[in-house]
Amino acid sequence: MWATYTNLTGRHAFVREAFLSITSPAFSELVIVIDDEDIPHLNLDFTLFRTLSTMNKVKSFKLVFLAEVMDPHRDGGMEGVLQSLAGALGSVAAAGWLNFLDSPPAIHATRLPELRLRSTFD
Amino acid sequence: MEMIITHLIGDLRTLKACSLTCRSWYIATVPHLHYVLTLRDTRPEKTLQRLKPLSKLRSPGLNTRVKGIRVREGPGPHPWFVPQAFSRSDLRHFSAFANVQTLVLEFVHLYRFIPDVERYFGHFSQTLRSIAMHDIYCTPRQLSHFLSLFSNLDDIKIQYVSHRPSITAIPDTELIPFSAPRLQGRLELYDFPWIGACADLITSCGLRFRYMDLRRVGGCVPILLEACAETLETLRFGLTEGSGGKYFYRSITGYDLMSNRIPYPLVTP
Repeated sequence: MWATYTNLTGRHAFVREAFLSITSPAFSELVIVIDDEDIPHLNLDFTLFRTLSTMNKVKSFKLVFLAEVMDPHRDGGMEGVLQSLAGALGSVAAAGWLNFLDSPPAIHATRLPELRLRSTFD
Repeated sequence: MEMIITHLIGDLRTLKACSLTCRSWYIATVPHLHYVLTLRDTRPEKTLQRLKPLSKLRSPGLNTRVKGIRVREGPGPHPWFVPQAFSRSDLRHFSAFANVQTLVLEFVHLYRFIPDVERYFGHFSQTLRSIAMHDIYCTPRQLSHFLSLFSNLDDIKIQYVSHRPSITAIPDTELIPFSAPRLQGRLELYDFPWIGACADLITSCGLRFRYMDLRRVGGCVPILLEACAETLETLRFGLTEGSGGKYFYRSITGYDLMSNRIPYPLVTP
């Protein structure tokens, strides 16, 4: 199985090495967080999903895309952000770049606290 | 009544109004009213009086109800939460908070408490489960030394750290860990580039986090992944951080795209 990776060099091999170090049987979820302001010009290129595919072969996981929304009252609010992200991922799925996953990635949105640490008590 | 109060948790203004209704409402609301004690800068001209309100909490025995303490320093150059601000009675009052499980420090000049952190924070050593720090001033070794004080600590959240040269009476190399905290919960790091601090924590405390949220942490990711390899359940990282995705590899692996340099050698099991 690992013969596939023998020709990998540089960053791709490094990603594989990083995930090879995870031996926890409980590892099950990889959450990718995206700023809502980045979604309109999100560069979800093939390199990213090739890397995720590599990671998934090393250690199977559930993939989650989480949009952090700075201002939930702006434009379409949380729903609008979710739709934008779903649209971006839809074209990725259409290209077949998510075929390595057992199930489609989950998509969520959450409000970004003004200061992340404030959420400890607020 | 309990259901109403439960819905109002976090709304201090309404809870205070409820507490004035009658004695039974007061009894129901008071644990929530005093759940978190916030110490903040309200009188910038009088440093030594900042901790005086602590004595008011002690008299009715409310300090045992406090489960969380938040210290809100300002970003200015003249901190008020410093060892010099603690008179003997202030320290006695501060030490009376025996049930604190969560500590939040904002803009605190931690290095000023070295090497006497145990004197000021030692009473939290057994009860503290979670610590959150924002814009802390210290060195990497001082940070790990401080965290090692809390033997039952499970969760760590750090956003921004500012390096301060060690100007304490004890050099960093002589700071010995107090204990090996549990560290089995959540690790959340934002803008935390200190590989040295991570290495210190791994060496002195051991890490067994189940959840890691890592944003702009540079080369720390590989060693953290390696350290928590047997316990990690969920990994969360930022894809874009406002950069249109170009920081992906740096965020997840510490791999520097610009220099093609791998900052930390990984040992494959």
